[in-house]
Amino acid sequence: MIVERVLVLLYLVGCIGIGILASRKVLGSRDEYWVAGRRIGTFVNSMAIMASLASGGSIIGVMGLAYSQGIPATLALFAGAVLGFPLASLLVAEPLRNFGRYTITDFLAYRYPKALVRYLVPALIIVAFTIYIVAQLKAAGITANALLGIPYNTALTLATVVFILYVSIGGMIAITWTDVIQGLLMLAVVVGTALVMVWRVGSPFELMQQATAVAPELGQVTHRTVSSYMGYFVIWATAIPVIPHIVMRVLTARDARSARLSLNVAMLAYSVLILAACLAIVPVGKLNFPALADADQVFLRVIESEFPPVIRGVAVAAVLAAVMSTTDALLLACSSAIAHDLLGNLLHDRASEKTLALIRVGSAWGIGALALYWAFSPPELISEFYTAGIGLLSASLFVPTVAGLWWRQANLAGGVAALVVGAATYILVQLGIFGLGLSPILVALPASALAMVAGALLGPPEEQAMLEQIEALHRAPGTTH
Amino acid sequence: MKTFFPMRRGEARVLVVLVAFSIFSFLPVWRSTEFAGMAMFGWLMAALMVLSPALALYVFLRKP
Repeated sequence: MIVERVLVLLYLVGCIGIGILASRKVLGSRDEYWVAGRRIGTFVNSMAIMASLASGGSIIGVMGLAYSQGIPATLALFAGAVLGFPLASLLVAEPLRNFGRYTITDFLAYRYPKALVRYLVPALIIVAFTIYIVAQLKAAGITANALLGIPYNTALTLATVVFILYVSIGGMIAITWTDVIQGLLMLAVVVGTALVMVWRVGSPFELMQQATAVAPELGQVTHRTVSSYMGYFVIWATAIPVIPHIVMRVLTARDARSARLSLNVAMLAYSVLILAACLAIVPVGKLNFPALADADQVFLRVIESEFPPVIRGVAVAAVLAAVMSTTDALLLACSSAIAHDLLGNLLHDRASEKTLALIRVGSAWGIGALALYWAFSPPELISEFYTAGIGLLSASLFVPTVAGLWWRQANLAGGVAALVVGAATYILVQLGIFGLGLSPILVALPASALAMVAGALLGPPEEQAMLEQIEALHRAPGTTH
Repeated sequence: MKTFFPMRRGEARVLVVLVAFSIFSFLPVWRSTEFAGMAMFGWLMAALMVLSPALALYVFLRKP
């Protein structure tokens, strides 16, 4: 495993180097630290967005899921996230980029100016994203342990220290450049492997037919209920337009048009990655290794059996890159909820720029250390927890954000009611306290929308000045409707 | 006063098409119909993954 370890070590050193280079620029400026000076171009932002979404689950997990639960079910889960990006580009990208602040909390607290919104939104983000980070760390530890033979806790600590280091000192610029490298690495490894597999057989349809002739369940819709499929699909489709690490990417774009283009270019690349994995690599895995006890091993087994050690080393680095590219964006978004949304607003007038910079770096280390501590002995169902966490964000933030941007009758009472009712309903259904036999998101989103309508009907109408400001956000400079 | 802030016509159409395609894909009939060994539901999800960003890109690139 010497070759694999050396390649991974070089990759980790490269990430730290980027962080150190970026730190010279970002540590003294909030704009540079949180949103990379708002000048990231379309291609770079696309790769960074793709890498932020493509977690360890998008390489190891997607193939394990397709192998064990069938390709249609797997594609249903990932298609929701892909659909979320065009929805984000149509519904929120332009007005939020024109709004020009740092976080989704900034917008919601501006649109619904109430202390509850200012503090509840970052609190929800911190809870959901800490769980998400722990899930990613667990994936990093398991991957490094399985592929490099490094003990789980050592691998976990090493990976965590590296990405906390470059996130905390390099901010959004470091994340963007490391994500671009990580995204290209992932695409090259997964798509390259898929092309080799397809080239040997002739076409992906032929490959699929061979695999499903031996294992028909690979192409069938089995295992999960319809509500469950739809629930996962809806969670991700509605979460993407409002989850903080994606919204921050919108805010880094040099203008609204670039933000909208990069969201969709990113998703074309991501779709190619997922479809290459599901339609080319998994069928080969099923044909060559039909009875794997651990389905998550399928990609690694295919790589091991088909390629020499150098390629295997690059593949290991690609898997770690997938984990780190998501985790670094989550960590920055989570620390922005503490350092900017909570402490920054409390201390803004009383703290120097140097103190704010220390708070930013300290928040990243604090959240990272907490997640690391938890990841040493993570709950077994952590993947279920983090999907539930994302569902909670979607249930609480989607309706207030989209209605606040598009519906003229949306008012303070409706926004607060939609936020609270969406969150409370999701938690109650998730915990089984009440439900209609549906996935929690399929109950919570309508409840949130009803609360918005009830608040709009019962509360005082929105002030004209606010409506004019929201209308202005829809007008990109130099365009007309 | 209009109920909603105005959305460009082409973008509104894409939004409607994407939502309609998603609902269409979840119709029960596609779970039992197969093509090349895989349920049509899977192929429709694959098509949605490619078509949804491609359609949005087409609209955004067509009009600055």
